[in-house]
Amino acid sequence: MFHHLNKIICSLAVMLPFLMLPQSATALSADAQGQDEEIIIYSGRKESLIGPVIAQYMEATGNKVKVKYGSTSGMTALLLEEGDATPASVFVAQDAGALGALAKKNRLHKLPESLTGRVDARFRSPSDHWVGVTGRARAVVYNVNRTSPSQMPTSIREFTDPKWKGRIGWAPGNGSFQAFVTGMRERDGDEATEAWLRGIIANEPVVYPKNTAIVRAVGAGEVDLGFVNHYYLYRFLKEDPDFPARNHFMPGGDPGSLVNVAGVCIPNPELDDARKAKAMEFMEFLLAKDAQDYFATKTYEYPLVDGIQPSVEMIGLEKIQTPDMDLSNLDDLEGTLVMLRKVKALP
Amino acid sequence: MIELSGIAKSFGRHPAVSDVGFALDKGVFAVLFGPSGCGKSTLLRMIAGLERPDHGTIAISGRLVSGDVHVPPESRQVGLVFQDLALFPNMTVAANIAFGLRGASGGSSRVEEMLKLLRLEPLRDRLPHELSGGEQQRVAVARSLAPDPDVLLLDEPFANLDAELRARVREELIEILKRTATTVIMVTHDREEALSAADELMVMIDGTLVQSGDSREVYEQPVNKEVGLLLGDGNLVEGLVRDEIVHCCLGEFPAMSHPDGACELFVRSEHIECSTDASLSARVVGGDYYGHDASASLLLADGTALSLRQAHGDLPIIGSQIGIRVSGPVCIFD
Amino acid sequence: MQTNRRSRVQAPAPLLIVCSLIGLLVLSPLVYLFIRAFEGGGFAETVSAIFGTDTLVYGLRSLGLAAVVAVASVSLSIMLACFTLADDLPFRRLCTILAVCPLAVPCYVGAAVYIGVFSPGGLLGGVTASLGLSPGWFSGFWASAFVLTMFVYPLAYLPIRAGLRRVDRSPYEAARMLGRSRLMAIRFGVLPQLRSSIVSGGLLVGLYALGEFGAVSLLRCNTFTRVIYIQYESAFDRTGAAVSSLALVGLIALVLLLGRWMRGTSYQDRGGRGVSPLKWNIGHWRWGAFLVCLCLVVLAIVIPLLSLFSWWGRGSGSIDASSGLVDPLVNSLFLALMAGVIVVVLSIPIALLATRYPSRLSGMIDRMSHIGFGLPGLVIGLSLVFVALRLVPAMYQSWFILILGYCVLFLALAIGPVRAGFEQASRTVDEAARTLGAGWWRRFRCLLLPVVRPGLFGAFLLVFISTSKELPCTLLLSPAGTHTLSTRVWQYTDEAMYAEASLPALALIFLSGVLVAILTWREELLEKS
Repeated sequence: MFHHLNKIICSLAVMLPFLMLPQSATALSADAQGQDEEIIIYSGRKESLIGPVIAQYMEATGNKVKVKYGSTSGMTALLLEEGDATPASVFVAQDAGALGALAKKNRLHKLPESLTGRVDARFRSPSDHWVGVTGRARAVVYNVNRTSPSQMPTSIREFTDPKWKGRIGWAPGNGSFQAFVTGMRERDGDEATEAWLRGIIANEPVVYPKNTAIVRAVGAGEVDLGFVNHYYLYRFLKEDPDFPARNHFMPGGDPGSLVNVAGVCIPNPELDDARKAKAMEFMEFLLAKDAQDYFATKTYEYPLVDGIQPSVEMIGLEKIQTPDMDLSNLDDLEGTLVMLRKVKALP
Repeated sequence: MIELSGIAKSFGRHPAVSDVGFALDKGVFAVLFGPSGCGKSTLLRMIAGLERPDHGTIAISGRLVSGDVHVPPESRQVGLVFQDLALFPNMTVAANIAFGLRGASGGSSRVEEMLKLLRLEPLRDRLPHELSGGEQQRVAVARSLAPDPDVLLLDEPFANLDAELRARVREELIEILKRTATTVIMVTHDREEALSAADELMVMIDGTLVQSGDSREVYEQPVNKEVGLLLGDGNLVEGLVRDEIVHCCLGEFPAMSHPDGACELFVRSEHIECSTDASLSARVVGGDYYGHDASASLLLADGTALSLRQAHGDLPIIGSQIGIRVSGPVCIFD
Repeated sequence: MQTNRRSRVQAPAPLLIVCSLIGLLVLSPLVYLFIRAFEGGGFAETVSAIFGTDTLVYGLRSLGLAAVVAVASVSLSIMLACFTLADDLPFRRLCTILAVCPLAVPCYVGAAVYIGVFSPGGLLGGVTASLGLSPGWFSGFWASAFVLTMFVYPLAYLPIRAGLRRVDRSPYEAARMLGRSRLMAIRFGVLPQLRSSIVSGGLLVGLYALGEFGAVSLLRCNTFTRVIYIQYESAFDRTGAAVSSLALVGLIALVLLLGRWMRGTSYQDRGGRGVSPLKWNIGHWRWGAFLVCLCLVVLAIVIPLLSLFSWWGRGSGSIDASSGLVDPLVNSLFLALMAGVIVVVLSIPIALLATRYPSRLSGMIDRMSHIGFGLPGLVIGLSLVFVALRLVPAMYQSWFILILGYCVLFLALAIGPVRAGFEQASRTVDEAARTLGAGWWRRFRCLLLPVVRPGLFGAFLLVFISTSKELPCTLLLSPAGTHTLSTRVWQYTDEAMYAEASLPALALIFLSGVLVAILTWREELLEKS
């Protein structure tokens, strides 16, 4: 019996790779000859947040697409290393800072006005190197039983007031929060931002690892409010319509209502025309109604193309008065990290 | 059959073997004898092809195997029985023996033949660790003999056996090997083993072949005192040659064709005898009893120490004064 | 004396060539880092910009973490090895198998699980809250050390257990006969024989801790790898990242030197003689020992599994994650099997060179492979991108390059056990076979393989498990359009979608766990027969 077992295990171990070799071999040859057929997309956006749209695209156009998923920052590092040899025709990034970094290193192909023009100038590269697809706003999520919009300050700067002591939840390790701090530095300067951070820390905020943890904690009444991205709340509301939390957006171009984007670009200035055409087609699709509707209703992000309404639960993007700044400048994350460590927000 | 000439090998700056050459005929049982570390194992490994000589040539059955060419051990037709036997631990006795027979015709019948020759038939399906030392020894020899090698090399094959077993296994194996008329080179540092087994005794000291020949001849007429002392107990006394006569404390002996001057005389212990009518007198200062023979330490009047060995047990009493004489050949060295 | 003399024998040319090629492969990250660090000429500037007191603190913290995790893992492993090799431990075989299983849990999953367990509303959230601990208390250095020790210690346990099983009892008995106490006899008679295994195990665990990023960043412990990640992924500064990575290489070299010093002289050579193994009983403490094993199993296996199952249950209504599970499972299995087989095959010539013809080259390849193991997967991945695009652009983003990446990362895991296996093989047996006319392939297949097989299996096991859970290198090098279990897990945990992450994580753990169980069980059976 045991001898049989040995043999079975051994033969399985030896056979399996060879059994699977044909599969990988076909994958290889498909890669080699499929250049004119399929395009490769690098996505810093998770499959759960974009996979269905890509499936729609393939169904609608009959084009073949292969996606390589990763983190936005990791994909950016990969693209920088690959240079012109990158197999990617499109890069979908979750954060404008990464797009800005690629643009500054001249890694992006210029996009036609016809494409970028569909999106408000605030949400695209001033040099037309990338274009935003969806908006993700910073917001203050609050517990409706513990506080109300009328008690909210007019600016996020005012949460340093001692009356908020022990009532704030934040996630200084979170990327979106760090992008917000970078935006604040860009707008108010390093000195003011550092002072604000110290002020918040003096109010003894509760530290959470992620946005979702903050929203959950606000709903559970652990803290009264938290600094988050706007869309997490709606996932909770979908599961439980009575979830006792709402978003509050800071008015008047406040850094606390920064709208960051998830955007797309062509990460290869030397891309050949055939693949470029396909890439354009894909980007067009992302900015067309179906895809924008999908992002609005399924991921609760803000559609950026005029005429598409966000999900009914959300307030309109035009009502969020975002600060007037070039999102490409969100790439100085390192300076933000240095500051966060300096004020001991990060260990 | 096997011919070595000018073989030299050094490890780093340390010469292990220098300028060794000899030739052996088919069926000869040769013994390579020498103290530990004299280079005899290295020489054996060079014959087997496991080491490559720096200089010199080795030819086996007329084929050059070391020299300008280097035939790897697996194609040399040389058998080697290792000191630690190196049986294949994961194989049965029969599989061990059959290992070298791959491709050869009549493999299984050869295995049977070997099992029978070395009386291993009942043990054929045992694993090496289930065998006694003597049995393992026989398996190792059977394994090496099975492919019918041109030369069989034995590297201190009996070193790991206890004394009683050792003598028996040795006699048995030597008998079998002589019966099969295999050319054998055995390395040993056991003098009894060397003297009893050798058709041709080769003595190696410090990497050089010092003397070779019939064992009796080498024993009785060593070319120097090192060889003499290596092969058995003996006495070295100073002497002076004048007119082909050597004078020393033991008396006067003929020294044919030896130039005049100082020399050393070598007398085997068993060639010194107690004698009532002797001219020499010595005091007995100690003695050892070995059963089949016994030895005594003597002191001459001029202070020279001697040793005496005799077959019968009735040794003189310690402290007594006895008469002695030299009864056998005397060797004279410079 | 004799072994010394023989060791000067020159290795055969084909072996040297093969080993040099493997050496070049494991050298490629270093080449890449040097090129990137020195291109553009801003080296000195970058160095002075990077090496502030902060960096020093990170470096020291990394070393500290590596040291704490290594010492804790080695102590735990010695204890477990003593328990599981004792004759009277209750459920001995089960404990033996379960003690290896925690390795199947990826560290980032382990970290996420423990963060969840201690968070308000988690399994033990109530307990910690009643102790007055704030919600985020499970983070930082000691939390990282705990999580890493829990899920990485088997890297030390396997070699230490194998080493303890090979211990010859005669030095111990001699020490007892010379009037030493039991403890002193262990100190002088057993530990010197175990030293080599302890140091190799400790090195692997320590180097793993140096290069780990996922778990450590989840637990917000800032180590040196974080400096590298920030430079690559936040500041997009390749020169700076390369310089920091070279600094990490320096730390690794320091650790390796320390290991070499601690390993001291090897006492492996027993001249082909058999070994009488040490045997012992625990006696009336055996149920206590069993309880210790049980605690470990609860901490490192039961709690992660329970958490994952509860996450799964929580989300089962809204998701059908199983639909996308077959492909990643097949891919993970394929990659892990291939990487396991190839890495073991590559480690054979190196182990052969190191045991039969020890030389500077064999030592260098061994050290280089350890550097690959200690560097973060991100750096290895990027260096393979660099090399592949320049040497074999047609193969870029194929499975082949990904598997090469695994080879660079995990060769160090395989060399240890394979080498230990080769050290068991008697040299004279090989020579005897040569004089009997056997060529190298027959000698290898009939004589060497049976002796080194346990070592090969151990190596395969380690590489298989490590590959199946590896993440950063997989993300960078896997072909577009493919998923593995680990990328699936990462994708969902990164978005805090724990319910969706639970199923691939469970699949990952069971995939490795089942293999561990089968192989360990099998080796136990072989040991008996």
